[in-house]
Amino acid sequence: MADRTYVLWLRKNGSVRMHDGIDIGVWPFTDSKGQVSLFPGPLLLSNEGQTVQVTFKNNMNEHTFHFHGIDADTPNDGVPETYPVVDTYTFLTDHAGTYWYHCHANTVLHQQMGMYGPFVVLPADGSNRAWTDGPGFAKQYAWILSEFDSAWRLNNPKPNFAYFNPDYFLINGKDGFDPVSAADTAITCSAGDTVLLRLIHAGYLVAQVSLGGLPFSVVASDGRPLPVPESPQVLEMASGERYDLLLTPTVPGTYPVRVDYLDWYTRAVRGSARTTVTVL
Amino acid sequence: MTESRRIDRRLFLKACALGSGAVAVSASGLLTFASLTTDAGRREGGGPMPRTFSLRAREGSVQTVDGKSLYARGFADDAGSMSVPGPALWAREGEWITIALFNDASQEHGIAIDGVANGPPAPPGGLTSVAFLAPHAGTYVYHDPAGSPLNGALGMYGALIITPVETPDRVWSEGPAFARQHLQVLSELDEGWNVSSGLKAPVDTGTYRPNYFFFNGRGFPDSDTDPNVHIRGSVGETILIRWANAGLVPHSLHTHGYHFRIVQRDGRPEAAFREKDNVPVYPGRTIDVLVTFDQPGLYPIHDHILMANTGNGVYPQGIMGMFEVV
Repeated sequence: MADRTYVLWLRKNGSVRMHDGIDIGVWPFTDSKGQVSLFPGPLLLSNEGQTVQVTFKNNMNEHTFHFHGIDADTPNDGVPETYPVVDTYTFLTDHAGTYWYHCHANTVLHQQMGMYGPFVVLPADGSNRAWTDGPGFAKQYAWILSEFDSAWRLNNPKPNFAYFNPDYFLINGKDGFDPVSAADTAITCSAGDTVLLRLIHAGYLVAQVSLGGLPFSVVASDGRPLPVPESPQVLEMASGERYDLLLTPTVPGTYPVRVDYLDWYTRAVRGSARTTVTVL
Repeated sequence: MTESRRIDRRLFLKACALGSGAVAVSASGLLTFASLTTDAGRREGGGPMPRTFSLRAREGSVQTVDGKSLYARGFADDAGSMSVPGPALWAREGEWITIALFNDASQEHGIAIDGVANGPPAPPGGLTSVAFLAPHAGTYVYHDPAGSPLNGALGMYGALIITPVETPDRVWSEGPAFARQHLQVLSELDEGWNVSSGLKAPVDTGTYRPNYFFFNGRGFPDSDTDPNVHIRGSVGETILIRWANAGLVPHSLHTHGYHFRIVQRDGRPEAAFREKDNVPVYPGRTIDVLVTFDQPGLYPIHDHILMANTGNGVYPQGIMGMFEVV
């Protein structure tokens, strides 16, 4: 028997309102009852060493779950090109850290339509540590970075998925154009608290993350501790990567967070998502 | 053509004469990895062993996964036709490498390895060369520095691999060992650049909209017949994969089934090995990773910048390979 079981449903008629009042179509997952649409999908949690079972309730043989970074075996890996589509996935989570799940059928489109969510493996004892016996923290946040290309939702003209021209830039599915609209991604902590920030890149453009000048330490990536932590001013990350950051702000204030999404070829900033860190 | 071939041959023979004569060369002057493991490590009397390659810059075409034939430029070995990427050049640390390039194409072309060697371009019908001491063991991109970035995007690139002298089964002389190694050259093309160039029309290189994406010059599933892209192995083995991005945009590679250890970047050992399942390889850069097969199965290895997991927008094509482990 699995130590943790999850049930997810899919709705293919969701939408998310952007800062300019435009509604963008998404295919959101829902809560375990199939009632409340969630975009990004619900946070799935386990402890290191636990076996997890996730069931896709209304799959209709069209979609899969790929648990990115979990290194599941082929039958539970969610790749239609390597194994027939299944509805139930079972796997061991043997390394604490930050992961994510997404549909791996026609991935280029289904991921863009929002079929993704965060997956966090806690230390074996479930404690507030970055990994088993790793550094401790007071609070943790997960931010999924991504973009929307509204033209990919049109039937006429039919989009060519080689050409990605995003017009909205997101943190946790919220348009980050306006830091107020992205308020529920904002970090609030007390001076001297250590915060663990889990960054997941579910978009397609290289992203640069900065925390308003607050220093941070990058302690893990892709579900593994870094052999040597790093403290860059700006963290650059690409599609599919995860980074775990520790920050211990000491000076009260509100710090502007900025995620710049860079053009694939020119590296010019194509758009930015903003939120804040408030230190009390 | 005859005249130029003669010059080319003369330069080649001259370079060979510098050595002891122990260098095993194919008819084309290209060396394969297999030949590296058999010949002597050092020239009698000391000094670096010479290692000479003879390449040609040519025009031709590449075939896309959906059956288009597109105008391209690329490198050929002395005997063969143009290929994209160009021939993989294998040499050993400390060798004196000479790469002669004869220009069979109708534009000027040169050859360079960024940070290592940069030769002057040769006019059509002309010859150029670079000569340099083989750098630190690792993976490098060679490319045409003339007409950059257009010639690169049209196919003028390849990989140079430097192995340790005494320990070709290690990443560097005292570095980690591997059972087998696989070269995966990443690239892409913007069909519009190829079509315009074939018509001798100007290309605006300020805008690049790639629509075909390659592992060793082919998109999935065409690339699936390449044993360096569809990698077979056994549980317990550790293999080395050399990722060389010869394209103009980053590619973010994700492996299913296994994490990998980043052991080297741009021909320099990592001080400590990061264990990851996803890493960007930037244009002109290389990353060497070790993968230990700890479970059997069939697992994709693909670009998570998902536009590049398509061929002209069709999924799953482009940059995708497989691990097939028993």
